[in-house]
Amino acid sequence: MKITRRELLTFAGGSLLGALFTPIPWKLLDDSSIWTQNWSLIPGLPRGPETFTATRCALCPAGCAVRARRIDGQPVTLAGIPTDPFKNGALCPMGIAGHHLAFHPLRLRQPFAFTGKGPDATLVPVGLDEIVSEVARTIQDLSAASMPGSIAILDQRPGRAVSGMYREFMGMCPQGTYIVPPGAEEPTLATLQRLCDFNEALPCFDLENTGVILSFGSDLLDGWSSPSHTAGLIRNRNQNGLNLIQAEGVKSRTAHQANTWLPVIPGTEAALALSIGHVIIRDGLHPREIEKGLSDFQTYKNLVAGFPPDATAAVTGIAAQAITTTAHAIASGPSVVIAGCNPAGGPFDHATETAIAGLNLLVGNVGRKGGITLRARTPSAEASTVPAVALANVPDHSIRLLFVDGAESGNIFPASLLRRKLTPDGGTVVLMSPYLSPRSAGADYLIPSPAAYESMEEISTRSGASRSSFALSLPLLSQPEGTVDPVAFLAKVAEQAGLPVPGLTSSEACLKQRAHDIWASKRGSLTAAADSAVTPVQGMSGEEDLWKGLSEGGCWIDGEEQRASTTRRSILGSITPGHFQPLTAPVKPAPGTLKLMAFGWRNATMTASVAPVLSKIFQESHLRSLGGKVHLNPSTIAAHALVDGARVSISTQSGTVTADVVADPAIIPGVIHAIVGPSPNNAAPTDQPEAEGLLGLCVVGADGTWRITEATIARA
Amino acid sequence: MEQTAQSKSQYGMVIDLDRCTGCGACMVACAVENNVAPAEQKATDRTGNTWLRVYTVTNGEEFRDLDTVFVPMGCQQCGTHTPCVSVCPQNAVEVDHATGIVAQIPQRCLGCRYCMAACPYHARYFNWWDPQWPKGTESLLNPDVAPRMRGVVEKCNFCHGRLHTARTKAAAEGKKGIEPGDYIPACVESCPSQAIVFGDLADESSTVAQLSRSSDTFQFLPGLGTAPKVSYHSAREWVRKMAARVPTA
Amino acid sequence: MDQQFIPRGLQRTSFTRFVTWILPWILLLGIGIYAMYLCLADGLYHTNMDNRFAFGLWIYLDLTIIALGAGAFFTGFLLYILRRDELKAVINSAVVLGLICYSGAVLVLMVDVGQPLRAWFTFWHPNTHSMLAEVTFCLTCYLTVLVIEYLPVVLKNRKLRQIPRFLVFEFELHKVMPVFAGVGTFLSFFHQGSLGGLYGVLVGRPFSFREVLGIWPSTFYLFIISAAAAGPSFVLLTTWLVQKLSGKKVVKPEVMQFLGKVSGWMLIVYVLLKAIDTLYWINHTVPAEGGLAYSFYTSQGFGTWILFAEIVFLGLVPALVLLSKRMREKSAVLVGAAILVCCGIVMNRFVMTIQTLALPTLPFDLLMSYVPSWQEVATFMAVVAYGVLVYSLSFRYMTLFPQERDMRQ
Repeated sequence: MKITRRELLTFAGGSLLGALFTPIPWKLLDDSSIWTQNWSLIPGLPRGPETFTATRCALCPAGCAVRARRIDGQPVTLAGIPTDPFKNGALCPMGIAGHHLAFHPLRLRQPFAFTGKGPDATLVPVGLDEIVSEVARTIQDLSAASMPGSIAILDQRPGRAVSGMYREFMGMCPQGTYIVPPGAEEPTLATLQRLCDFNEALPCFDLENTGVILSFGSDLLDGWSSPSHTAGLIRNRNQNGLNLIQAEGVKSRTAHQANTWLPVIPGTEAALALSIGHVIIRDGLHPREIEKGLSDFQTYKNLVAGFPPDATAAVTGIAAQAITTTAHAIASGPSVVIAGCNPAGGPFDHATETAIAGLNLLVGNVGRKGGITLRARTPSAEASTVPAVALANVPDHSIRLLFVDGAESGNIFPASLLRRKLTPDGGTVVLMSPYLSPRSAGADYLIPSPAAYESMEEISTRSGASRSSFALSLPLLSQPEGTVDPVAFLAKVAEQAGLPVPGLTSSEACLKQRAHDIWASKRGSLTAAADSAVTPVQGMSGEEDLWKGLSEGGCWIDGEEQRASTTRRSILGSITPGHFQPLTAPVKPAPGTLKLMAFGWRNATMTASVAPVLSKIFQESHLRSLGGKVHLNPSTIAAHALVDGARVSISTQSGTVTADVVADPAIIPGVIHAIVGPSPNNAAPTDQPEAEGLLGLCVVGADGTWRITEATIARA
Repeated sequence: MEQTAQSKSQYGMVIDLDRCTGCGACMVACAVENNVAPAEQKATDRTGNTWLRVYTVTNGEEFRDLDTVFVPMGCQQCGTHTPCVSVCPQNAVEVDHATGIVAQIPQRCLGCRYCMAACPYHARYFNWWDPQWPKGTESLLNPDVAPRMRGVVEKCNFCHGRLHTARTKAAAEGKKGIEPGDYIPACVESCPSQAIVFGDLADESSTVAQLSRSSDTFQFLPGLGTAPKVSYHSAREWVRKMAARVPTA
Repeated sequence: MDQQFIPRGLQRTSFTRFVTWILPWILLLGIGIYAMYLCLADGLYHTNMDNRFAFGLWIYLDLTIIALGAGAFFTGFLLYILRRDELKAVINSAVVLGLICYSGAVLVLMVDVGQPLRAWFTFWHPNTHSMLAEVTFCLTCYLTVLVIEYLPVVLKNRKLRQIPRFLVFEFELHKVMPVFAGVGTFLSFFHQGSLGGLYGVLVGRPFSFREVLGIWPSTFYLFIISAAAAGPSFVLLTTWLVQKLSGKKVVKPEVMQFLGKVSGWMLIVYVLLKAIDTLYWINHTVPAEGGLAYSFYTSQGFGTWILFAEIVFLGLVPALVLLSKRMREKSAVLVGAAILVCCGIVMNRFVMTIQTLALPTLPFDLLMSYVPSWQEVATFMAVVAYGVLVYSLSFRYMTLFPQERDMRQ
């Protein structure tokens, strides 16, 4: 049969037309649209049963309660728990993305050694055993050479159970020193501990019952203590009548929410505090018994006589009327006066801290409900005999071997502060951290500790809380192979160095020991996570009950707080009145210079500690500035012939750094408000720790503070 | 969905601008809940993807008299003359009349960005890059929200996935309607200051409906006739004045 | 070398010189194709568009070249429907220009959208309220019409017409050409208008929003008329340019003057209606939305001078010039006026696309700025290069200007 061309064409045309009536062409069209929805670039989603776990965030000491939504065990969303017994009802932006940190591009997954010191040093993978033997050998060499104070450990989150192990380890090391960084302890309370003798009790703020908070630069809403707790207090101030007075040289977020903002000139906060003291004494607002109760009341009275509000107005920039009003406010009822500590700017000098904290003593806050109350320390079997030394007080160039615990406090300090405590060759530094943080610069060995939510962490009493507490941050992710428990690492080092092996050889063992101590003390009660049921510890049959409750997200809270029973109280302590002499007249800055002040947001001072999704706040909007930006008041910008967005060089005696200018009317004129923060563009995997940048420009004084540094600025 | 006597809901929000401290928790919670990827290295505030974005607005005064208001702005869920719905050439946006939510269908979106030109609130975001997830974080994605690829527009949809979850739960319990407490968008849940009030505006007794009737409650761009279901509340007169101001070029 | 392809009776440059002419355009095309590849394969972040400037150089230039390419439909309308036979001299050229403009615009659109593979969704799930759906439908249909109108021009090529089947097909096609021209005109009215409607319906953009006349905003009608004004001017300009570049006379001066007159009449009507529309917008539309028209013009770059430039200097002035027979007879004045007309349309499309998006809508926003990236410019230059190539090939191998043969004498 011969098929003609016409027949073929007809058949083809007919088939084509007929195909339109079949699903084929339509399915092909649909498929093409499905392809565009399912490229391999689009990630697959986790599937599995949905569960909820109550845990706590361990990114900073606030330890906010977390309800983790998990799919097939993987944490997907974290949210706050409004019924949290600690009243940390919500999470901060860093906490909300905390479960992403285990996959941060700067996460360390194996031990590393640096090939040297300095900017050309690179990372080399190295076996753990090699590091252990190296470090053990160094310890043996040092003990043989008998060098005092040459081995040290820097614990950025003191007060935990593992901190006890670190102290024990230092006690075993020949002349070991246990160091805490600046800002690790709440400055006001630490100062009050110096001024008064509280025996073994710890002072704290009774914020629940206070009527007035006078805060000198404390980032109450941005990281102090527990921001969500403070936010709750402020949110309800119409009901609880709270009056927040923020004395700060920048109109921060806290200052915006305050009832009153006192824009005090940076560096003159002590004068403001003393002037408030002047008004209190002048108007007889202090309780009479204070005059006898303070050992140096007369000295103080003579001192503040030189700070009348009319004169201090010129010094501090705060009008006399405002000073008087503030004084009356804090003396009118229960109040707390707080000396702040910026996460990147650090604490005030001792004299200023004393002047501020002393106001609590002057108005009778100490020992009063709603003021400064006392809490008993968390039960621990043996109080350590190894003292905690502030980093500033460590003799310069003394440390030869330094261990750094990478559990961040949320604060940062200039590397020069640490560097000068090490021997001139840089010593041997072992950093036990999950991330390649700026702390890695100058390190010799990096031990990868577990990242956020990969291990059980302690939530010890947050600074300022009125009762001691203990809770656990329960892990939500499995630890990748290669991570090393810092406690286990130190135990191994001790064993190899021939030291007595510490009693506790893992972090979990430390936690269990503390739970045991609490149970044995019979104090306090456990609040369950699921139903908030309260069970007194005394009534528990076995310590497993306590541990079980804690492992299910519960928390232990101590019993009644103690009344203050002090034998000694001084309002000035070791500070002599001469310290404040320069503040009796306005301080004129050197012409052409500005005050460089580092400013950070707690837990967001470096790239390694914020999850990449935080770019929403830092990079994809103008809500917060990235690290490396400097905020200047528009008048300061004009005075130095700069413009918004200009590239500038900032110089101090520590060096020069380039930065970008941001015009910000919230900054007081004359100040360079240097942002120490993350830079998501640095989050690409690298073997170089982030450069220190602006923080490195801050000059650290002999007292270990770096709050204000004289600087010059010029177009780059 | 099962029909109830109150099946027509009008979900809306009132945001208290005096409570908002500008912390940004809502922005991060939104991104985590809705599988919005971290920024590309080169992304800026104009090419970033922030379904909810908090703007910083000052009163223009100098240092001592400075006041700032933080304005969280996501999709305003316009009620009438929804600008984006009418302009999409392929019906990739629709108003769900049962809830009032303006839902975006990324799988149908062509990426022509006409809706972005139409939206006066700039609530819509385009994927200029392929979303990049740091290795390992794909296992942490929320299975209730479809991830997108480059070339499509996306925006806030009042955490629609949570509404579905609430409905499933109600159906499983044999209930006719959802428990209001079961449907809370991520931003509302995450705010430490509880500045965002969410609920059914059609329910006269709800907090959000009552708050929306306050004299200190206002909307942005009311003259355009978009009838947004997101309103803002502030006792500060300068804030209300600012919101009513005509922008000058 | 290619003499056999060149239409009989016409003289064209040597093949070598022709290759030298098109080589740089091919290079430009190549660069542009690479830019397009980057955008398609890697993502649209290669452009400088962003969430505030969702439309940029491409959309702006698309609207412009479609307006300029309107010469195709309007010349067709005048020739086939209104029987103005003098336009036979330029209809082929106009069709080629139209084809170039529209196919170029569609090509750029395919790169501009985020998901080109989903382009067919508009036909599958059309939104009848959307101006862009209307534009998509009409553009695709009109492009088909243009291809059909271009076919006879191609088939009349010296070599191709030797194939009898092609000759017959071309002949039959030519008989129905008025139908296609009519369809093309109808479709063109619609999409020229809906391109204007694209911005006129935006309630969220008080700067471009216009109230509705019938079922479309006033910009719908204004865009049609302005396109009808620009089209003949653009045909005039390109013809002049072809004459200058090739050194040959291809049309009689009367044809050029006629194009100028048509443009002038359309333009004067447009200027009048635009002035009325602008006044109504300033005094009624903007205040009704709670706005202030003056607020759109307070920045240095976009002051009120823009309004005057567009309506008076680039609108009223060339319109009056083109309406004067004496002025039209001076070639330099004619061409100069045509340039002004085209510039006016270019400016009008700029104001409607770029300025609309630059202006702030939220009370705390500021004026936005935008500068196209090299990939955007290169992509567009590729379209220009493509146009020059298609036109050059058409001019060389097809009879674009029937009068050219006569004018050789």
